[in-house]
Amino acid sequence: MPRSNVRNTPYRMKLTGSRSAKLSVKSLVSILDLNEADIDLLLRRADAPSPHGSLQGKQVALLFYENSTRTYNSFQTAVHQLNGTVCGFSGVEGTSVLKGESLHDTIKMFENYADLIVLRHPNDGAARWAADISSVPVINAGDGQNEHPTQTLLDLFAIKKTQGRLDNLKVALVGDLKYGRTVRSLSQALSLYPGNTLYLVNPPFLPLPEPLKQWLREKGVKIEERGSLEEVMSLADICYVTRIQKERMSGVDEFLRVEDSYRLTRRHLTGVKANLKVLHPLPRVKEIAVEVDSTPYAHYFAQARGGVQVRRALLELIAGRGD
Amino acid sequence: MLLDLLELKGHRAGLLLGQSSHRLGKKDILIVAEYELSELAEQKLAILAPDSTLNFVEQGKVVRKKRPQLPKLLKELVLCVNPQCITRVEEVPPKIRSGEPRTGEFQCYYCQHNFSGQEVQFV
Repeated sequence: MPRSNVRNTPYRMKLTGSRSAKLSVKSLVSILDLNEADIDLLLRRADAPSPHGSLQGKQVALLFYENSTRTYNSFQTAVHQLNGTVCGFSGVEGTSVLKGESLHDTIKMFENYADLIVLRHPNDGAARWAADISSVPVINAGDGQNEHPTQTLLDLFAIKKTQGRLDNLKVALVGDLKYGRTVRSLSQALSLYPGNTLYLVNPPFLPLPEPLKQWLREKGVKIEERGSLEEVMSLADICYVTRIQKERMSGVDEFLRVEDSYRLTRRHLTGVKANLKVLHPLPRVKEIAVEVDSTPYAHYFAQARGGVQVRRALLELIAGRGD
Repeated sequence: MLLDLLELKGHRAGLLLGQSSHRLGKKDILIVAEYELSELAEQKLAILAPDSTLNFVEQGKVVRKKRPQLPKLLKELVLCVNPQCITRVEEVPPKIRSGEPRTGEFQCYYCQHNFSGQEVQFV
């Protein structure tokens, strides 16, 4: 049986802007480490054919203190596509971490083995600390509730792919805007581009943090707080839905009371713009009804498909052998 | 607490409360003899009392006045208040970015958690 064409079809898109071939940073810890030219370069490179051999003879340490399916496997696949090798762990079972080894010592060990470290860690700020002490570049694959910049890059990749631009967009952010690190990073990234409007649709107890709202406004992002999905769906170019995590609720009853109010269904998709795309960092639980999957607006699985491309581009630009 | 924070122990000091002030209406005055304010103590003062003025007195005359200064990056002075921050679970020297002292805004260099001057805990 032939392999699915859809799965094997990479994103192809036209990007404009700087053609610089180097990133301005050695490591990637926060999406704000990157400037507009860096993001343009990364998205352009992600859309280009894979340069086999770019990591030939190089080793990448994947240090995942928390289990991860998508991020771990997409990084691993990306390294293999570039002919590199991987070492490290996914989950701390059987590692020296369980014996009490500090992050500092683990980083100092693995910098001897690898040309690049990809780190996922449960504590906020762990990636910045690792990047500061490591002699090799560090890519943040998620640090606690703080940042997940490679997820943001693939979110931007999907937005650019579907809308043709990253500026002058109307983006609805839906769900847990307080603890969701993807929302924080995406909103910050969109602030690099002029004319963007964010519609915030969240339960009252999960708002976007006030300092972040203030910061975004200072950067020129227009922010409108809306009470329901109905108010924003006809306006939005992008509807970015996030999972509301029950474990963050002070009471499960509180969550159950509001759950359906932030659940996207087919009913919300009447009268929307033709170019609307629904994105989600995945995994999805109940916040997007399965009936939405078959509409032309659902783009979350295609969005995830860009994960390998974006991470491959990042690995290549940070640790690769160049053109 | 103030004695410790400003390293006043062992110095002769006096406190005048509720003095009139053109700028603030009322002010308290702390007088310390033969005392040199360390950089660290000055930074703590800038956090605790951003509106304060330091008067340097020699032979009974004020020879210099200044506001306590706070650098943009505070190293090993203030703890991050986020219990999930890497600096609270591992031996990481805390680094905190300071905003405008009067608005009392601080941000952890590592985890980017924002907090106010009222929440500040010194190392």
